Amino acid sequence: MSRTSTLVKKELNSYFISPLGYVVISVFLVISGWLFIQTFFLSAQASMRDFFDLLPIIFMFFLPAVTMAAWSEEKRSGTIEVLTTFPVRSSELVLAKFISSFIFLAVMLLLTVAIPIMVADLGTPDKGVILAGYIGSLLLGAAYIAVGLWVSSITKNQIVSFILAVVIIFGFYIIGNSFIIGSLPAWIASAAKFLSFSAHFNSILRGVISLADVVYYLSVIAFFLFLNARVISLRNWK
Amino acid sequence: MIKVEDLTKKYGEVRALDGVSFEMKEGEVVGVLGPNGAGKTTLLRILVTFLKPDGGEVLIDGFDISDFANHEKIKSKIGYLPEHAPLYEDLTVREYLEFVGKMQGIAEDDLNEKVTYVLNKCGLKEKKNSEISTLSKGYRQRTGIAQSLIHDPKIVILDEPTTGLDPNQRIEIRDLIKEIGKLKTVILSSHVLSEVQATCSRVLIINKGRIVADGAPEDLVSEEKGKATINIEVEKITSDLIAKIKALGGVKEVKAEGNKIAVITGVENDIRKDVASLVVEEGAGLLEFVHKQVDLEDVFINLTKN
Repeated sequence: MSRTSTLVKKELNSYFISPLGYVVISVFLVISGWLFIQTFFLSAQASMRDFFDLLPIIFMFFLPAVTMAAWSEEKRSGTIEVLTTFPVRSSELVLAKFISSFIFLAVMLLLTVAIPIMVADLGTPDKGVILAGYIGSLLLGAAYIAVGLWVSSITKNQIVSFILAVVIIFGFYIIGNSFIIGSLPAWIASAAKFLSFSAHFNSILRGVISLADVVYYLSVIAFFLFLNARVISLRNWK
Repeated sequence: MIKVEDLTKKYGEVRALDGVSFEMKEGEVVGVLGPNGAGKTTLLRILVTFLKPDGGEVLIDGFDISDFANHEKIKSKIGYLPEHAPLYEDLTVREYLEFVGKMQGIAEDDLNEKVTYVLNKCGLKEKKNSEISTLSKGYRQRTGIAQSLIHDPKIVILDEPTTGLDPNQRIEIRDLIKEIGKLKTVILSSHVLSEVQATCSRVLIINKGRIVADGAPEDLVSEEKGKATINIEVEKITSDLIAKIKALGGVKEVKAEGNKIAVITGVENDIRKDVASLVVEEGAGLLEFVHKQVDLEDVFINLTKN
Protein backbone atom coordinates (compact mmCIF):
# COMPACT_ATOMS: atom_id res chain seq x y z
CA MET A 1 0.00 0.00 0.00
CA SER A 2 2.90 2.36 0.67
CA ARG A 3 3.90 1.81 -2.96
CA THR A 4 0.46 2.83 -4.11
CA SER A 5 0.67 6.05 -2.11
CA THR A 6 4.18 6.69 -3.47
CA LEU A 7 2.82 6.48 -6.99
CA VAL A 8 -0.21 8.63 -6.10
CA LYS A 9 2.12 11.35 -4.81
CA LYS A 10 4.25 11.21 -7.93
CA GLU A 11 1.20 11.38 -10.21
CA LEU A 12 -0.31 14.31 -8.32
CA ASN A 13 3.06 15.98 -8.38
CA SER A 14 3.20 15.75 -12.15
CA TYR A 15 -0.38 17.02 -12.52
CA PHE A 16 0.59 20.12 -10.63
CA ILE A 17 4.12 20.54 -12.02
CA SER A 18 2.88 20.63 -15.57
CA PRO A 19 0.83 23.54 -16.86
CA LEU A 20 -1.82 21.05 -18.02
CA GLY A 21 -3.25 20.63 -14.52
CA TYR A 22 -3.68 24.35 -14.00
CA VAL A 23 -5.01 24.89 -17.51
CA VAL A 24 -7.63 22.14 -17.13
CA ILE A 25 -8.78 23.44 -13.73
CA SER A 26 -8.96 27.10 -14.68
CA VAL A 27 -10.67 26.52 -18.02
CA PHE A 28 -13.12 24.17 -16.30
CA LEU A 29 -13.95 26.81 -13.70
CA VAL A 30 -14.39 29.56 -16.27
CA ILE A 31 -16.57 27.52 -18.63
CA SER A 32 -18.74 25.83 -16.02
CA GLY A 33 -19.14 29.11 -14.10
CA TRP A 34 -20.00 31.08 -17.22
CA LEU A 35 -22.53 28.60 -18.56
CA PHE A 36 -24.18 28.38 -15.15
CA ILE A 37 -24.40 32.12 -14.59
CA GLN A 38 -26.06 32.57 -17.97
CA THR A 39 -29.14 30.63 -16.93
CA PHE A 40 -28.97 31.20 -13.19
CA PHE A 41 -30.23 34.78 -13.15
CA LEU A 42 -32.87 34.06 -15.78
CA SER A 43 -34.37 31.17 -13.87
CA ALA A 44 -34.23 33.22 -10.65
CA GLN A 45 -34.10 30.13 -8.45
CA ALA A 46 -31.66 29.60 -5.61
CA SER A 47 -30.64 26.18 -6.90
CA MET A 48 -27.54 24.63 -8.40
CA ARG A 49 -29.54 22.26 -10.55
CA ASP A 50 -28.50 24.05 -13.74
CA PHE A 51 -24.86 23.76 -12.74
CA PHE A 52 -25.02 20.03 -12.10
CA ASP A 53 -26.98 19.50 -15.29
CA LEU A 54 -24.00 20.88 -17.21
CA LEU A 55 -21.45 18.58 -15.62
CA PRO A 56 -22.06 15.34 -17.58
CA ILE A 57 -21.21 17.21 -20.79
CA ILE A 58 -18.41 19.36 -19.39
CA PHE A 59 -16.78 16.38 -17.67
CA MET A 60 -17.01 14.50 -20.95
CA PHE A 61 -14.28 16.74 -22.34
CA PHE A 62 -12.32 17.71 -19.25
CA LEU A 63 -11.83 14.35 -17.51
CA PRO A 64 -10.50 12.52 -20.59
CA ALA A 65 -7.97 15.37 -20.79
CA VAL A 66 -6.93 14.53 -17.24
CA THR A 67 -6.59 10.78 -17.87
CA MET A 68 -5.45 10.67 -21.49
CA ALA A 69 -1.75 10.61 -20.67
CA ALA A 70 -1.94 8.34 -17.63
CA TRP A 71 -0.85 5.14 -19.37
CA SER A 72 -0.35 6.17 -22.99
CA GLU A 73 2.52 8.46 -22.09
CA GLU A 74 4.16 5.71 -20.01
CA LYS A 75 3.87 3.44 -23.03
CA ARG A 76 5.12 6.01 -25.51
CA SER A 77 8.15 7.01 -23.45
CA GLY A 78 8.92 3.45 -22.34
CA THR A 79 8.72 4.23 -18.62
CA ILE A 80 6.04 1.54 -18.36
CA GLU A 81 8.86 -0.97 -18.69
CA VAL A 82 10.39 0.32 -15.46
CA LEU A 83 7.04 0.83 -13.75
CA THR A 84 5.77 -2.69 -14.43
CA THR A 85 9.06 -4.31 -13.42
CA PHE A 86 8.86 -2.83 -9.93
CA PRO A 87 7.78 -5.52 -7.47
CA VAL A 88 4.17 -4.30 -7.42
CA ARG A 89 0.90 -5.76 -8.61
CA SER A 90 -0.71 -4.12 -11.60
CA SER A 91 -3.86 -3.62 -9.51
CA GLU A 92 -1.84 -1.36 -7.19
CA LEU A 93 -0.55 0.64 -10.16
CA VAL A 94 -4.06 1.02 -11.58
CA LEU A 95 -5.48 1.99 -8.20
CA ALA A 96 -2.78 4.64 -7.78
CA LYS A 97 -3.53 6.16 -11.18
CA PHE A 98 -7.23 6.16 -10.34
CA ILE A 99 -6.80 7.72 -6.90
CA SER A 100 -4.60 10.50 -8.23
CA SER A 101 -7.04 11.39 -11.03
CA PHE A 102 -9.89 11.24 -8.51
CA ILE A 103 -8.08 13.65 -6.19
CA PHE A 104 -7.60 15.96 -9.16
CA LEU A 105 -11.34 15.77 -9.84
CA ALA A 106 -12.11 16.48 -6.20
CA VAL A 107 -9.86 19.55 -6.27
CA MET A 108 -11.60 20.72 -9.44
CA LEU A 109 -15.02 20.39 -7.80
CA LEU A 110 -13.85 21.91 -4.53
CA LEU A 111 -12.81 25.04 -6.38
CA THR A 112 -16.39 25.57 -7.61
CA VAL A 113 -17.30 26.33 -3.99
CA ALA A 114 -17.86 29.98 -4.92
CA ILE A 115 -21.05 28.93 -6.70
CA PRO A 116 -22.89 27.43 -3.69
CA ILE A 117 -21.69 30.34 -1.56
CA MET A 118 -23.13 32.79 -4.06
CA VAL A 119 -26.38 30.83 -4.38
CA ALA A 120 -26.75 30.68 -0.58
CA ASP A 121 -26.12 34.39 -0.38
CA LEU A 122 -28.86 35.19 -2.89
CA GLY A 123 -31.53 32.83 -1.59
CA THR A 124 -32.15 29.82 0.54
CA PRO A 125 -31.19 26.77 -1.48
CA ASP A 126 -31.82 23.22 -0.29
CA LYS A 127 -28.38 22.36 1.10
CA GLY A 128 -29.09 18.65 1.04
CA VAL A 129 -29.78 18.73 -2.69
CA ILE A 130 -26.57 20.64 -3.33
CA LEU A 131 -24.58 18.15 -1.25
CA ALA A 132 -26.21 15.26 -3.12
CA GLY A 133 -25.29 17.03 -6.38
CA TYR A 134 -21.65 17.17 -5.38
CA ILE A 135 -21.61 13.53 -4.30
CA GLY A 136 -23.29 12.56 -7.57
CA SER A 137 -20.73 14.61 -9.50
CA LEU A 138 -17.86 12.83 -7.76
CA LEU A 139 -19.39 9.44 -8.60
CA LEU A 140 -20.09 10.41 -12.20
CA GLY A 141 -16.62 11.91 -12.60
CA ALA A 142 -15.00 8.83 -11.06
CA ALA A 143 -16.80 6.62 -13.59
CA TYR A 144 -15.56 8.86 -16.44
CA ILE A 145 -12.03 8.63 -15.03
CA ALA A 146 -12.20 4.82 -14.87
CA VAL A 147 -13.23 4.74 -18.54
CA GLY A 148 -10.54 7.28 -19.47
CA LEU A 149 -7.78 5.34 -17.69
CA TRP A 150 -8.73 2.09 -19.35
CA VAL A 151 -8.74 3.71 -22.78
CA SER A 152 -5.38 5.31 -22.03
CA SER A 153 -3.95 1.86 -21.29
CA ILE A 154 -4.79 0.50 -24.73
CA THR A 155 -3.02 3.13 -26.83
CA LYS A 156 0.34 4.85 -27.05
CA ASN A 157 -1.21 7.98 -28.47
CA GLN A 158 -2.62 10.62 -26.13
CA ILE A 159 -4.90 12.14 -28.76
CA VAL A 160 -6.39 8.76 -29.65
CA SER A 161 -6.79 8.12 -25.94
CA PHE A 162 -8.64 11.42 -25.47
CA ILE A 163 -11.01 11.03 -28.41
CA LEU A 164 -11.81 7.39 -27.75
CA ALA A 165 -12.61 8.17 -24.11
CA VAL A 166 -14.93 11.01 -25.17
CA VAL A 167 -16.69 8.70 -27.63
CA ILE A 168 -17.21 5.89 -25.10
CA ILE A 169 -18.39 8.26 -22.39
CA PHE A 170 -20.72 9.92 -24.87
CA GLY A 171 -22.12 6.49 -25.72
CA PHE A 172 -22.81 5.74 -22.06
CA TYR A 173 -24.35 9.18 -21.70
CA ILE A 174 -26.58 9.13 -24.76
CA ILE A 175 -28.21 5.74 -24.13
CA GLY A 176 -30.06 7.31 -21.20
CA ASN A 177 -31.49 10.06 -23.37
CA SER A 178 -35.29 10.05 -23.66
CA PHE A 179 -35.15 10.20 -27.48
CA ILE A 180 -33.11 7.03 -27.57
CA ILE A 181 -35.08 5.29 -24.85
CA GLY A 182 -38.38 6.23 -26.48
CA SER A 183 -37.37 4.67 -29.77
CA LEU A 184 -36.25 1.35 -28.32
CA PRO A 185 -38.36 -1.71 -27.46
CA ALA A 186 -39.35 -1.64 -23.81
CA TRP A 187 -36.97 -4.30 -22.52
CA ILE A 188 -33.92 -2.82 -24.24
CA ALA A 189 -35.01 0.64 -23.17
CA SER A 190 -34.96 -0.29 -19.52
CA ALA A 191 -31.56 -1.93 -19.89
CA ALA A 192 -30.24 1.13 -21.71
CA LYS A 193 -31.61 3.40 -19.05
CA PHE A 194 -30.06 1.25 -16.35
CA LEU A 195 -26.64 1.31 -18.05
CA SER A 196 -26.56 5.01 -18.84
CA PHE A 197 -24.49 7.48 -16.84
CA SER A 198 -27.11 10.19 -17.08
CA ALA A 199 -30.20 8.40 -15.72
CA HIS A 200 -28.46 7.56 -12.45
CA PHE A 201 -26.96 11.02 -12.21
CA ASN A 202 -30.35 12.66 -12.69
CA SER A 203 -31.88 10.57 -9.97
CA ILE A 204 -29.13 11.64 -7.54
CA LEU A 205 -29.64 15.30 -8.55
CA ARG A 206 -33.19 15.08 -7.22
CA GLY A 207 -31.58 14.91 -3.81
CA VAL A 208 -31.96 11.24 -3.11
CA ILE A 209 -28.85 9.15 -3.03
CA SER A 210 -30.19 5.65 -3.43
CA LEU A 211 -28.09 2.59 -2.83
CA ALA A 212 -28.86 1.38 -6.36
CA ASP A 213 -27.29 4.49 -7.90
CA VAL A 214 -24.20 4.29 -5.73
CA VAL A 215 -23.78 0.58 -6.45
CA TYR A 216 -24.21 1.30 -10.17
CA TYR A 217 -21.36 3.85 -10.24
CA LEU A 218 -19.09 1.73 -8.04
CA SER A 219 -19.66 -1.26 -10.34
CA VAL A 220 -18.85 0.77 -13.46
CA ILE A 221 -15.68 2.06 -11.79
CA ALA A 222 -14.66 -1.42 -10.60
CA PHE A 223 -15.37 -2.91 -14.03
CA PHE A 224 -13.19 -0.47 -15.95
CA LEU A 225 -10.40 -0.53 -13.36
CA PHE A 226 -10.45 -4.32 -13.59
CA LEU A 227 -10.15 -4.12 -17.38
CA ASN A 228 -7.34 -1.63 -16.96
CA ALA A 229 -5.41 -3.91 -14.58
CA ARG A 230 -5.87 -6.81 -17.02
CA VAL A 231 -4.49 -4.73 -19.87
CA ILE A 232 -1.46 -3.74 -17.78
CA SER A 233 -0.64 -7.15 -16.35
CA LEU A 234 -1.44 -9.07 -19.51
CA ARG A 235 0.08 -6.47 -21.79
CA ASN A 236 2.56 -9.00 -22.93
CA TRP A 237 1.96 -11.69 -20.39
CA LYS A 238 -0.95 -13.61 -21.84
CA MET B 1 21.47 -17.59 -10.78
CA ILE B 2 19.84 -17.49 -14.20
CA LYS B 3 18.88 -20.59 -16.13
CA VAL B 4 17.36 -20.39 -19.58
CA GLU B 5 16.27 -23.53 -21.36
CA ASP B 6 15.06 -23.76 -24.96
CA LEU B 7 13.48 -20.32 -24.85
CA THR B 8 11.32 -19.25 -27.78
CA LYS B 9 9.38 -16.09 -28.53
CA LYS B 10 7.47 -15.37 -31.69
CA TYR B 11 6.10 -12.09 -32.99
CA GLY B 12 3.53 -13.32 -35.46
CA GLU B 13 5.51 -15.52 -37.82
CA VAL B 14 8.90 -14.11 -36.90
CA ARG B 15 10.88 -16.08 -34.37
CA ALA B 16 12.59 -13.45 -32.23
CA LEU B 17 14.08 -16.16 -30.04
CA ASP B 18 14.50 -19.67 -31.30
CA GLY B 19 15.60 -22.25 -28.73
CA VAL B 20 17.91 -20.14 -26.59
CA SER B 21 19.59 -21.98 -23.69
CA PHE B 22 22.28 -20.82 -21.29
CA GLU B 23 23.10 -20.69 -17.60
CA MET B 24 24.67 -17.95 -15.53
CA LYS B 25 26.39 -18.32 -12.20
CA GLU B 26 26.32 -15.76 -9.42
CA GLY B 27 28.84 -12.98 -9.97
CA GLU B 28 29.22 -13.53 -13.69
CA VAL B 29 29.22 -10.56 -16.05
CA VAL B 30 27.73 -11.64 -19.34
CA GLY B 31 27.47 -9.58 -22.49
CA VAL B 32 24.75 -10.39 -24.99
CA LEU B 33 26.07 -9.44 -28.37
CA GLY B 34 24.28 -9.41 -31.66
CA PRO B 35 23.31 -7.31 -34.66
CA ASN B 36 20.21 -5.13 -34.45
CA GLY B 37 17.08 -7.24 -34.40
CA ALA B 38 18.87 -10.37 -33.25
CA GLY B 39 16.63 -10.79 -30.21
CA LYS B 40 18.76 -9.21 -27.47
CA THR B 41 16.06 -6.90 -26.11
CA THR B 42 13.44 -9.64 -26.35
CA LEU B 43 15.66 -11.96 -24.30
CA LEU B 44 16.26 -9.34 -21.60
CA ARG B 45 12.58 -8.37 -21.47
CA ILE B 46 11.66 -11.99 -20.85
CA LEU B 47 14.21 -12.24 -18.03
CA VAL B 48 12.61 -9.26 -16.25
CA THR B 49 9.09 -10.73 -16.78
CA PHE B 50 8.06 -7.85 -19.04
CA LEU B 51 7.42 -10.26 -21.92
CA LYS B 52 5.95 -13.71 -21.83
CA PRO B 53 7.87 -16.39 -23.69
CA ASP B 54 6.07 -18.76 -26.07
CA GLY B 55 8.06 -21.76 -24.96
CA GLY B 56 10.92 -22.94 -22.83
CA GLU B 57 11.85 -22.43 -19.22
CA VAL B 58 13.45 -19.54 -17.35
CA LEU B 59 14.56 -19.75 -13.74
CA ILE B 60 15.71 -16.61 -11.94
CA ASP B 61 17.48 -17.49 -8.68
CA GLY B 62 15.45 -20.69 -8.63
CA PHE B 63 12.07 -19.07 -9.36
CA ASP B 64 10.19 -20.07 -12.49
CA ILE B 65 8.96 -17.04 -14.45
CA SER B 66 6.07 -18.98 -15.95
CA ASP B 67 4.38 -18.88 -12.53
CA PHE B 68 2.76 -15.47 -12.22
CA ALA B 69 2.85 -15.75 -8.41
CA ASN B 70 6.67 -15.63 -8.51
CA HIS B 71 6.83 -12.35 -10.37
CA GLU B 72 6.97 -10.03 -7.39
CA LYS B 73 9.82 -12.05 -5.87
CA ILE B 74 11.68 -12.20 -9.17
CA LYS B 75 11.24 -8.51 -9.87
CA SER B 76 12.59 -7.55 -6.45
CA LYS B 77 15.83 -9.44 -7.20
CA ILE B 78 16.42 -7.61 -10.46
CA GLY B 79 17.58 -4.11 -11.28
CA TYR B 80 16.65 -3.27 -14.86
CA LEU B 81 17.65 -0.55 -17.27
CA PRO B 82 15.49 -0.75 -20.40
CA GLU B 83 16.79 0.32 -23.81
CA HIS B 84 17.07 4.13 -24.24
CA ALA B 85 16.85 4.61 -20.44
CA PRO B 86 13.25 5.82 -20.17
CA LEU B 87 12.87 8.26 -17.26
CA TYR B 88 10.25 10.64 -15.88
CA GLU B 89 11.34 13.89 -17.45
CA ASP B 90 9.63 16.25 -15.02
CA LEU B 91 11.39 14.97 -11.89
CA THR B 92 14.86 15.87 -10.66
CA VAL B 93 17.45 13.11 -10.45
CA ARG B 94 17.06 12.95 -6.69
CA GLU B 95 13.25 12.92 -6.79
CA TYR B 96 13.33 10.17 -9.40
CA LEU B 97 15.71 7.99 -7.42
CA GLU B 98 13.63 8.50 -4.28
CA PHE B 99 10.52 7.50 -6.21
CA VAL B 100 12.16 4.34 -7.55
CA GLY B 101 13.56 3.53 -4.10
CA LYS B 102 10.12 3.71 -2.52
CA MET B 103 8.56 1.68 -5.33
CA GLN B 104 11.25 -0.93 -4.73
CA GLY B 105 10.14 -1.07 -1.11
CA ILE B 106 13.04 0.69 0.59
CA ALA B 107 12.05 1.94 4.06
CA GLU B 108 11.80 5.70 4.53
CA ASP B 109 14.68 5.66 7.07
CA ASP B 110 17.13 4.00 4.67
CA LEU B 111 16.08 5.90 1.59
CA ASN B 112 18.35 8.90 1.99
CA GLU B 113 21.39 6.72 2.53
CA LYS B 114 20.64 4.51 -0.49
CA VAL B 115 19.99 7.48 -2.76
CA THR B 116 23.21 9.17 -1.68
CA TYR B 117 25.10 5.91 -2.26
CA VAL B 118 23.94 5.47 -5.86
CA LEU B 119 24.33 9.19 -6.59
CA ASN B 120 28.00 8.91 -5.59
CA LYS B 121 28.54 5.56 -7.21
CA CYS B 122 27.17 6.72 -10.56
CA GLY B 123 28.84 10.13 -10.50
CA LEU B 124 25.56 12.03 -10.27
CA LYS B 125 26.28 14.11 -7.18
CA GLU B 126 26.49 17.42 -9.00
CA LYS B 127 23.37 16.72 -11.03
CA LYS B 128 21.15 15.51 -8.20
CA ASN B 129 18.93 18.60 -8.27
CA SER B 130 18.77 18.93 -12.05
CA GLU B 131 15.54 18.14 -13.82
CA ILE B 132 15.93 14.98 -15.87
CA SER B 133 14.72 16.67 -19.08
CA THR B 134 17.78 18.94 -18.94
CA LEU B 135 20.34 16.13 -18.63
CA SER B 136 22.75 15.03 -21.34
CA LYS B 137 22.47 11.52 -22.72
CA GLY B 138 25.39 10.37 -20.56
CA TYR B 139 23.82 11.60 -17.36
CA ARG B 140 20.45 10.15 -18.33
CA GLN B 141 22.11 6.78 -18.80
CA ARG B 142 23.79 7.11 -15.40
CA THR B 143 20.47 7.99 -13.81
CA GLY B 144 18.98 4.89 -15.41
CA ILE B 145 21.80 2.74 -14.08
CA ALA B 146 21.53 4.36 -10.62
CA GLN B 147 17.83 3.52 -10.69
CA SER B 148 18.61 -0.13 -11.39
CA LEU B 149 21.00 -0.34 -8.43
CA ILE B 150 19.12 1.49 -5.71
CA HIS B 151 17.50 -1.54 -4.06
CA ASP B 152 20.77 -3.49 -4.06
CA PRO B 153 19.48 -6.22 -6.42
CA LYS B 154 21.28 -9.53 -6.89
CA ILE B 155 20.99 -9.29 -10.65
CA VAL B 156 21.47 -6.21 -12.80
CA ILE B 157 20.14 -6.26 -16.36
CA LEU B 158 21.21 -3.43 -18.65
CA ASP B 159 19.86 -3.12 -22.19
CA GLU B 160 22.35 -1.25 -24.37
CA PRO B 161 23.76 0.88 -21.58
CA THR B 162 26.25 2.72 -23.80
CA THR B 163 24.29 3.31 -26.99
CA GLY B 164 24.25 6.92 -28.09
CA LEU B 165 27.09 8.06 -25.86
CA ASP B 166 30.21 9.89 -26.93
CA PRO B 167 33.57 8.11 -26.50
CA ASN B 168 34.32 9.73 -23.13
CA GLN B 169 30.91 8.88 -21.74
CA ARG B 170 31.31 5.34 -23.02
CA ILE B 171 34.51 4.89 -21.07
CA GLU B 172 32.87 6.30 -17.94
CA ILE B 173 29.86 4.00 -18.19
CA ARG B 174 32.14 1.08 -18.99
CA ASP B 175 34.14 1.73 -15.83
CA LEU B 176 30.91 2.00 -13.88
CA ILE B 177 29.74 -1.37 -15.21
CA LYS B 178 33.09 -2.93 -14.26
CA GLU B 179 32.57 -1.60 -10.73
CA ILE B 180 29.06 -3.06 -10.57
CA GLY B 181 30.32 -6.36 -11.96
CA LYS B 182 32.55 -6.83 -8.93
CA LEU B 183 29.50 -6.99 -6.66
CA LYS B 184 26.63 -8.36 -8.73
CA THR B 185 25.54 -10.72 -11.42
CA VAL B 186 25.30 -8.55 -14.52
CA ILE B 187 23.82 -9.21 -17.92
CA LEU B 188 24.09 -6.48 -20.52
CA SER B 189 23.39 -6.25 -24.19
CA SER B 190 25.34 -4.35 -26.77
CA HIS B 191 26.24 -4.30 -30.40
CA VAL B 192 29.55 -2.66 -29.65
CA LEU B 193 32.21 -5.33 -29.39
CA SER B 194 34.90 -3.39 -27.60
CA GLU B 195 32.43 -2.64 -24.82
CA VAL B 196 31.64 -6.26 -24.22
CA GLN B 197 35.27 -7.23 -24.49
CA ALA B 198 36.21 -4.62 -21.90
CA THR B 199 33.47 -5.31 -19.37
CA CYS B 200 32.34 -8.92 -19.61
CA SER B 201 33.85 -12.18 -18.50
CA ARG B 202 31.64 -14.05 -20.92
CA VAL B 203 29.97 -13.31 -24.24
CA LEU B 204 26.81 -14.72 -25.76
CA ILE B 205 26.56 -13.94 -29.44
CA ILE B 206 23.00 -14.04 -30.72
CA ASN B 207 21.97 -14.02 -34.34
CA LYS B 208 18.43 -14.42 -35.62
CA GLY B 209 17.18 -15.58 -32.24
CA ARG B 210 19.80 -18.28 -31.75
CA ILE B 211 22.94 -18.38 -29.66
CA VAL B 212 25.78 -18.83 -32.11
CA ALA B 213 28.66 -18.53 -29.66
CA ASP B 214 29.08 -18.67 -25.91
CA GLY B 215 32.33 -18.24 -24.03
CA ALA B 216 34.99 -15.92 -22.68
CA PRO B 217 36.02 -13.30 -25.26
CA GLU B 218 39.59 -14.74 -25.34
CA ASP B 219 38.31 -18.25 -26.00
CA LEU B 220 36.01 -17.14 -28.80
CA VAL B 221 38.92 -15.40 -30.43
CA SER B 222 41.26 -18.36 -29.94
CA GLU B 223 38.94 -20.65 -31.90
CA GLU B 224 39.68 -18.46 -34.86
CA LYS B 225 43.24 -17.97 -33.69
CA GLY B 226 46.15 -19.23 -35.63
CA LYS B 227 45.00 -16.96 -38.39
CA ALA B 228 46.37 -13.57 -39.24
CA THR B 229 45.74 -11.39 -42.24
CA ILE B 230 48.06 -9.18 -44.22
CA ASN B 231 46.12 -6.52 -46.09
CA ILE B 232 48.05 -5.02 -48.97
CA GLU B 233 47.14 -2.22 -51.30
CA VAL B 234 49.12 -1.84 -54.51
CA GLU B 235 49.01 0.40 -57.55
CA LYS B 236 48.21 -2.52 -59.83
CA ILE B 237 48.17 -6.25 -59.41
CA THR B 238 50.60 -7.91 -61.79
CA SER B 239 49.64 -11.28 -63.20
CA ASP B 240 52.32 -13.26 -61.42
CA LEU B 241 51.98 -11.59 -58.05
CA ILE B 242 49.04 -13.58 -56.70
CA ALA B 243 50.47 -16.90 -57.83
CA LYS B 244 53.84 -16.09 -56.31
CA ILE B 245 52.33 -15.10 -52.97
CA LYS B 246 50.31 -18.29 -52.95
CA ALA B 247 53.50 -20.23 -53.50
CA LEU B 248 55.07 -18.82 -50.33
CA GLY B 249 55.21 -21.21 -47.39
CA GLY B 250 52.64 -20.57 -44.63
CA VAL B 251 50.06 -18.88 -46.83
CA LYS B 252 46.59 -20.30 -46.30
CA GLU B 253 44.53 -18.22 -48.63
CA VAL B 254 44.86 -15.19 -50.91
CA LYS B 255 41.98 -12.98 -51.86
CA ALA B 256 42.34 -10.23 -54.41
CA GLU B 257 39.82 -7.55 -55.11
CA GLY B 258 40.48 -4.44 -57.19
CA ASN B 259 43.96 -3.42 -56.20
CA LYS B 260 43.69 -4.87 -52.72
CA ILE B 261 45.07 -8.21 -51.64
CA ALA B 262 44.31 -10.06 -48.41
CA VAL B 263 46.82 -12.74 -47.48
CA ILE B 264 45.65 -15.10 -44.75
CA THR B 265 48.47 -16.82 -42.95
CA GLY B 266 49.09 -18.78 -39.81
CA VAL B 267 50.31 -16.71 -36.89
CA GLU B 268 53.15 -19.09 -36.17
CA ASN B 269 55.06 -18.26 -39.36
CA ASP B 270 55.63 -14.59 -39.83
CA ILE B 271 56.05 -14.12 -43.59
CA ARG B 272 55.60 -10.37 -43.69
CA LYS B 273 59.15 -9.80 -44.94
CA ASP B 274 58.77 -12.32 -47.76
CA VAL B 275 55.45 -10.93 -48.92
CA ALA B 276 56.74 -7.36 -48.82
CA SER B 277 59.84 -8.04 -50.83
CA LEU B 278 57.82 -10.06 -53.35
CA VAL B 279 55.46 -7.15 -53.93
CA VAL B 280 58.38 -4.77 -54.39
CA GLU B 281 60.25 -7.17 -56.71
CA GLU B 282 57.16 -7.56 -58.87
CA GLY B 283 57.02 -3.77 -59.21
CA ALA B 284 53.34 -3.65 -58.18
CA GLY B 285 53.83 -0.32 -56.40
CA LEU B 286 53.25 -0.92 -52.69
CA LEU B 287 50.85 1.63 -51.18
CA GLU B 288 49.80 0.05 -47.90
CA PHE B 289 50.79 -2.96 -45.85
CA VAL B 290 48.82 -3.90 -42.70
CA HIS B 291 49.23 -6.97 -40.55
CA LYS B 292 46.27 -7.91 -38.35
CA GLN B 293 45.52 -10.74 -35.96
CA VAL B 294 41.99 -12.09 -35.63
CA ASP B 295 39.96 -10.23 -33.00
CA LEU B 296 36.43 -10.49 -31.59
CA GLU B 297 35.15 -8.33 -34.38
CA ASP B 298 36.15 -10.91 -36.99
CA VAL B 299 34.54 -13.65 -34.92
CA PHE B 300 31.38 -11.60 -34.62
CA ILE B 301 31.20 -10.79 -38.32
CA ASN B 302 31.85 -14.42 -39.24
CA LEU B 303 29.11 -15.70 -36.95
CA THR B 304 26.45 -13.14 -37.74
CA LYS B 305 26.83 -12.52 -41.45
CA ASN B 306 23.81 -13.72 -43.32
